[in-house]
Amino acid sequence: MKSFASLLVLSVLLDVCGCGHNQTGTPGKVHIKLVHFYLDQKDTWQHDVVDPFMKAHPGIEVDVEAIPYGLYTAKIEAAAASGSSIGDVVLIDDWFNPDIFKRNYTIPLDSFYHRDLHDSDFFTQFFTVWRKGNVPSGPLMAMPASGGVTALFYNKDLFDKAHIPYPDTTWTYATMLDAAHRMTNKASSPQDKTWGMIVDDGIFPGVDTYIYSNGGKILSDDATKSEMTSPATVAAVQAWVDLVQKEHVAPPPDPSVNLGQQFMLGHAAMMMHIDYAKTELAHATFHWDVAAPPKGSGGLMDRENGQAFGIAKTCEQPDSAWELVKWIVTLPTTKGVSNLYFSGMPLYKPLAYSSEYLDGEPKCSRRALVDLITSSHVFSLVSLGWQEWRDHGFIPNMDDMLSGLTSVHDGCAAIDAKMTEVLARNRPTP
Amino acid sequence: MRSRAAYLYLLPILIGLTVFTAGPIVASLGLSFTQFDIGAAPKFIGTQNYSEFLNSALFWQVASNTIYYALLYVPSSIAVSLGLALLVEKRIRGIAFFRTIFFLPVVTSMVAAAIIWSWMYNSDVGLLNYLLSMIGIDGPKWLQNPHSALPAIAIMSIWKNAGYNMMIFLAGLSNIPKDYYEAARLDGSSAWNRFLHITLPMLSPVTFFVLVVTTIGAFQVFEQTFVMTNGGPGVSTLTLSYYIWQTAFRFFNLGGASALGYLFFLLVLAVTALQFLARKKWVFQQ
Repeated sequence: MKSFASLLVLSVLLDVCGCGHNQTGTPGKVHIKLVHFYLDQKDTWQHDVVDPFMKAHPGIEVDVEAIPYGLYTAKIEAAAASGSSIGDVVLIDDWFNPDIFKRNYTIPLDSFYHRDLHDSDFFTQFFTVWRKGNVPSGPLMAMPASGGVTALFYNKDLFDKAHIPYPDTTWTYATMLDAAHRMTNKASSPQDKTWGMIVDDGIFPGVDTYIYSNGGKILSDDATKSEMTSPATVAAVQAWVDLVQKEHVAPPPDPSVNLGQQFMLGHAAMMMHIDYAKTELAHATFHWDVAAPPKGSGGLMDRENGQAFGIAKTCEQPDSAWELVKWIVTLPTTKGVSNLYFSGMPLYKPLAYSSEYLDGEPKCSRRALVDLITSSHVFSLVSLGWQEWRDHGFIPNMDDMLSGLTSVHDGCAAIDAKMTEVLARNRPTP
Repeated sequence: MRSRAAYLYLLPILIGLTVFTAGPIVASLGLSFTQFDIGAAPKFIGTQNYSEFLNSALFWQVASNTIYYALLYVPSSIAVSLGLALLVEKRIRGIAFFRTIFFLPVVTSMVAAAIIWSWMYNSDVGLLNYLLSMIGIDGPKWLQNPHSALPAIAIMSIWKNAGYNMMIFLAGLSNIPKDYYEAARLDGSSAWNRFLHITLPMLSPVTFFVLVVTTIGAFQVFEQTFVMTNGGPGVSTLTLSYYIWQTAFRFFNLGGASALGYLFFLLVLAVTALQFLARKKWVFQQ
């Protein structure tokens, strides 16, 4: 009994004294903790980003923590809620930034940005989503590093087999449909079956670009109202659903595999997907490439998304943290840039046009993607509560429409009702 | 002195139970009456969360999906497990190999199994439709069709979990006295009659245990829908556990998720209570 009590007292004492805690950092240096979710690229980040930064900034020491994506989102949301911190410089994905910014988890970076960087060096049309309130006049709450654009991925082997020229910037949706018809082969054996297109039910792999490029909208510009019942939107959704139900050039969406994985099978000639999919296709057993999505009646519109780095308000050395953020987004060494941000496109123009990025692996027409940013208008679909209206409104009803279980008119009305309910519940606070 | 020592030894587990089990149970009950999105302090809203869910068509759709899955999975799973147990009960050469084979899916990761089955179900390149095409059948779009997606998940779950119940049934079968079978054989009873009048009644306490545990497990189905369908197509495979997870950790509606958790608990409690009430009618007590 005595030994047990002694052990208990000793453990408490050890804990109180803080023995066993890791004391990191070198005295005399500023310590910055960088937290990201690029677990697969952990070593690349250390060797190609952090080590060169520390060499160039001998007074700053950076600790890096890579956290799995699912855990990362939970940790940063919890930290934002509790006012604590997971690091000084944190990576933020566009889908969860409204929650982070709503809680003022990061500090505004406008003064740093205007002091050290220039608008002309960036694709600034991607900045709005990183501003508080998702408006161009809002403070910049995180420094955008990469952007994603929806591109048309195509299977070159199937195009060659059908003797169809590859997609280019002259393509319209009518051209795409015609090509899809010519490459759809409804053979009886599964291995010989090919589809002109594959489509998904989510809000970013294609349908959003299709709707906006054809004059419709999903969300109002201030991200507070649904636009799903506007006539142009309903017409665009109808045309999208027709690809499956009327034209029969695409199968209904498969919830068990994502669009990129389906495309990897080599049975589909085309898909519209965010350009991140190129990483997934690096190991494809067929030849593929990317092109700009076709033009619609409303021109060429592309959804704004990407990743940014913020400085937590708990950071005690914001100047040093900014030096790191600036280094990350401008990356003077350019090394590894083709794969650093989940293979997203750098928003710093010198990086986007660098040979390191344009010739990076996997090889594809990256230049077409960069040109796409300059030639298209971008829009955002991120709002407070957007995941709820997506998961319980948009996706299930798109599924039902694409499966022919409900009419487009009724499906769009159901999405509109759900979006309206969720958006009303999640009104942004002034 | 001895009792104080006992309490000290019990202290770690008591602290663990209080902090990690009892505490969250009580806290979530409290939270279920609040509006709480992590960001701000919980705001008391009475029974609003409960009334919103009970008046929501989606909640009832999700509840009926869950019950439908349980109805598909539980009887089939028990029948398959019992069938396997009867097969591998025989003391013949090499039977341990088959017992191992049938039990193997149980120790396989559910996520890994779900991913493999997703590919097997793929309508274009999946193994199942390939085999069907060899006999001239154009296979269904297993996971793309709202009518076949949940049954497809139930089939996968039966494959995955049947081995576990098989082992419980095996233990139950080994406890049935062999004298009963010998006496029945002497009386000229057929194999089917012996199964119907000896095996099933003698196994009924075990079957009851398996039924209760399997039903609760069926109501908790999560990984399969998470990995294979994300609740789709539409909401055809959206089940209560997945709905609670979405509400809490995707939509950050912690108050609503707590209320859903308690509604889920009441549903499982009601079904389990019914099973206990019906037990007297069919469970054989020696």
